[in-house]
Amino acid sequence: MGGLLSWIVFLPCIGGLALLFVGDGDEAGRRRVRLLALAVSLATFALSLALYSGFQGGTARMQFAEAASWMPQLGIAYKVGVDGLSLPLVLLTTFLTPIAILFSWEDVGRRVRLYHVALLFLETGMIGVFVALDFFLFYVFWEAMLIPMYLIIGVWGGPRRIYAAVKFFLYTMAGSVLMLVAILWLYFVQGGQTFDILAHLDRPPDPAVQGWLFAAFALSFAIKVPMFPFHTWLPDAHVEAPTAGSVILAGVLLKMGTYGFMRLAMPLFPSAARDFAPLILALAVIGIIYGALMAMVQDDVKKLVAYSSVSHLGFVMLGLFSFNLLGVSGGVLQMVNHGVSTGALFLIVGMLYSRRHTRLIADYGGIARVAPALSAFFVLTTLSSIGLPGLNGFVGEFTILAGAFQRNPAFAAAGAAGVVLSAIYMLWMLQRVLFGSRLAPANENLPDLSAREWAVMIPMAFLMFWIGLYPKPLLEKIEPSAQAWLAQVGRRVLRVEAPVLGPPGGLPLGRGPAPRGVAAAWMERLRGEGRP
Amino acid sequence: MTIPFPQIHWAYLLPVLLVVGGAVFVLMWDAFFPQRERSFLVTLTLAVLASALGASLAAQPGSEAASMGGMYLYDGFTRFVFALILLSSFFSVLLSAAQRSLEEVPAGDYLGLILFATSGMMLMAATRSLLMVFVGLEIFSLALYVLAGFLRGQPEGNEAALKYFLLGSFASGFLLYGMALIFGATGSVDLMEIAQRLTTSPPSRSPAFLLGLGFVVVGLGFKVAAAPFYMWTPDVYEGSPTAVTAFMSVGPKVAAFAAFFRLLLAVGPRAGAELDAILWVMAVLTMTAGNVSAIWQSNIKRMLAYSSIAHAGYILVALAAVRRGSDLATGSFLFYMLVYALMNMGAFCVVVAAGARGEERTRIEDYAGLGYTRPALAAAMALFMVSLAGIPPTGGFVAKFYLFSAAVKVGFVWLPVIAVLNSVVSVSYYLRLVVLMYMREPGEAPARPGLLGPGWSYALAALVLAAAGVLNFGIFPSSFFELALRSTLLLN
Repeated sequence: MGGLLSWIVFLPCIGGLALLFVGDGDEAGRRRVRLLALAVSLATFALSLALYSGFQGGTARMQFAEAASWMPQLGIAYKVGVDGLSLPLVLLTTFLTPIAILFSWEDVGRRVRLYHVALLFLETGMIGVFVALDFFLFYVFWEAMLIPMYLIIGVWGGPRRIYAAVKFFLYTMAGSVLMLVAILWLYFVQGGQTFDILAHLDRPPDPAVQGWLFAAFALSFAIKVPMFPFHTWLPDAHVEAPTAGSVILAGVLLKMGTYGFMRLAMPLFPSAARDFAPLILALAVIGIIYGALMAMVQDDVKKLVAYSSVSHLGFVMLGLFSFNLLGVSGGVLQMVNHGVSTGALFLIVGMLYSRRHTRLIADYGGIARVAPALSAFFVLTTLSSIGLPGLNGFVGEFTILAGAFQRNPAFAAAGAAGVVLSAIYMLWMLQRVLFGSRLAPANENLPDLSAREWAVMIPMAFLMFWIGLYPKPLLEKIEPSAQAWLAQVGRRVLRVEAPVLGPPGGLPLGRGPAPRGVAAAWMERLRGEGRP
Repeated sequence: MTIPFPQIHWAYLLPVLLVVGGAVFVLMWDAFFPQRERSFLVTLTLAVLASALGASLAAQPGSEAASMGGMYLYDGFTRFVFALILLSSFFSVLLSAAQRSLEEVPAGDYLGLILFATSGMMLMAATRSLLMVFVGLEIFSLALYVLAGFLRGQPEGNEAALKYFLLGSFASGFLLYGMALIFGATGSVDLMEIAQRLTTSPPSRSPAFLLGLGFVVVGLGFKVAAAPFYMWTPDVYEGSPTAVTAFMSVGPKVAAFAAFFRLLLAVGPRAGAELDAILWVMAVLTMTAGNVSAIWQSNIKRMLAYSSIAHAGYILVALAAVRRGSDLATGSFLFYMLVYALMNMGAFCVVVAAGARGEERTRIEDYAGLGYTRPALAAAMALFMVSLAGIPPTGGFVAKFYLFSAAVKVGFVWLPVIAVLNSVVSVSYYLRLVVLMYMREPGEAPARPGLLGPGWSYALAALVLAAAGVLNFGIFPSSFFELALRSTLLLN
């Protein structure tokens, strides 16, 4: 019973249920809870590695697909599958969860059992969102995942945790309920009487109504991403959440928004996506610049990283709405990159916080002298986050900018300014925290990394180098799906717009025959990177 | 002249007869053997309700649905509604047995009244005749007026009973006057005949008929606590004993909505678009008023009162869809009521179980830290709150999904949009309880051991039943939804 994918989705949930029966009254019990949670999440990761190795590149088909009847009266079925767009995100989720659990080992001392149950339920919800191929199932995972995250922020968070948790919940919920009505509308009015996502992809609705439907879907995803001006929940949630919560939030939850755009909003309503593209591109660029500027003036490290997320996710949106191969595959890659680098940044901030119980930049300085290993990882992560060549951030950002340039050089230029800004605020922060001659007395005995922290950071660093130096295997699995996606979105766009457009000479930049060639050439070069 | 003896299907009448017989027996038993253990009567009442449920499930509705010329109608709809009413009564009896402040009351009187009220609800839902609707409504209303003030020593209870009685009588007057006007305009109190008259002779759609229909809507709107006739609800819910409040929040609503459905199915399609607008506005007002007012409550019973008003608003969406002929609407209404009964009863059960002798936990602040002092109870409460808010994977979400599907299917767009936005508002007060239970430390909590009264096993049974149901309907709703959909086939 049940295929590999279902096991990956539900194993954490089963583990969470089992945890409910483990007592956490004494230290031994808490240790058992942590060990069991770690074992479950590692087993899930192992299963997802099997998924990765079994995943065939070179095809855009849904793989490991499963289907079962669920509510036949309304044509609702349990349907899951992965393709090149969702596979990296599934891996990211199963990778980050054990890291989060391992990090929380000493970080979370209260209500240990409830915490790990919430974390494991959350993992099921997140993976479920990425693999669901039925609207109803997607929505169930999408909403159900809010509750454990809400608890994680609200129970184990900082001083303003309740405000942040409620804000997080209400924002996301308010965004997503309209999507529910749009889904129902698709089902009844668009016809087909099915909630199957793939079936709907083949039948885009009438362009006249696409705008409304796209808006309903886009609102819920835009809040999740979060795009400017819907981002205000993010700094609160990030700052108040416990470290592991921030890692999951930044690493995976935000990607659910961009993934939603990619999997649902854009291919389902291609002509509306096209109509909205200028607006979304503009918001993406505003987000990039605004997030960077806000990050620059923060005196709280965690808040700085939170605003940098707003900026980095703007890049992903910029890539997706460039409507070309470079933009899209860069976008997918950047989702993974952001998960790894920002996740690692939050881990390091968490390590600093657990040592000094402050997140103010001004309280640090000269840390590099007392904690060299921690500082080395901090530097590495920062460099990966600002896109140093050879590390993961570079590949994603560069590809996105190349894609955006094909579409509209102005947006690409603004995006590139964001890259510069991100280098400024990150390096400036790094300088104030790690270097400088002044070492506050309270920091003099700051311990360096513990064995557990080494165990947390090494896999993260490994991923940064791996994606940075040898992205080929990953890109190979993404690319066919990205191409198929593009064919779907792009072709529709052209067909719908065809009567409006003038002669071929009047085509906007980026959609003539030449860019295709450029794209292919870039892909070749990117895939060739790291080849001996 | 011979008077034909009306046709009676005894097997179909059996559930009602069992409940009435049980009521009389319980009342008498207590009068003759007052010294007997209270648990005996509770068990007996539960057995009566369970056997009535068994009898109604066993009686497969056939083509000969009507007894006594339509005064008593047993179709698939009746069968499902019977199950709902009996289920809610079953829960109320469990809750009553668990509630410590009800330990001293004369059990026979109390349980007898619950059974009589149950029979009234059943009769109201199982008829085609407007007169019978009124008789059933009065049977259960009178019983509930008494039950609301059953704790005579409490001033709040007296206030609740008096308020409920005065306003309820007033609403009954509206209902009866409306029925009289409808009778005057169409010459019948039988819904089937009314529908025929409306089709065959359009003049009967006179202003008198519309006025009568309006009055009936007011009367039923009062019983289901729809805006703007809901003002009594918070005071009455707050003042009544918690177990009775739980009963009032489910049973009468099921019965009154069932009558409302029968009315709309019969006359709705012919009554014109005025009704559409009225139902639309009522639904929006009810859910908005309920949800917005619930945010500000500091008493959990008042909060649940407003929440039940909001849920009545969601159900009115289904009524509007029924008028437009949505084939999903009736089935989704039945399913919604099923889930609503479980989650609402469950929530009240937590309130009962959290209380102690003499001091009930009715302030919302009292729930601070419950997640750590009594984890199982708090987990159940959190589950019911999440379900009431309509968040997956609970029954509340699936029920709402079906309900709004029915509305979208017949072309409503704004109504479900307003409804889902309302459920976002509702999240804020449902989750406030979760915040208190899990995100606040317990106050200077008194010692908890020994808190559970002798009725703890009843509370446990109710909680387990409700929680299992809410989860099951959230994850595997298919078979019961199928049942609900099929329960609409034999209407009228």
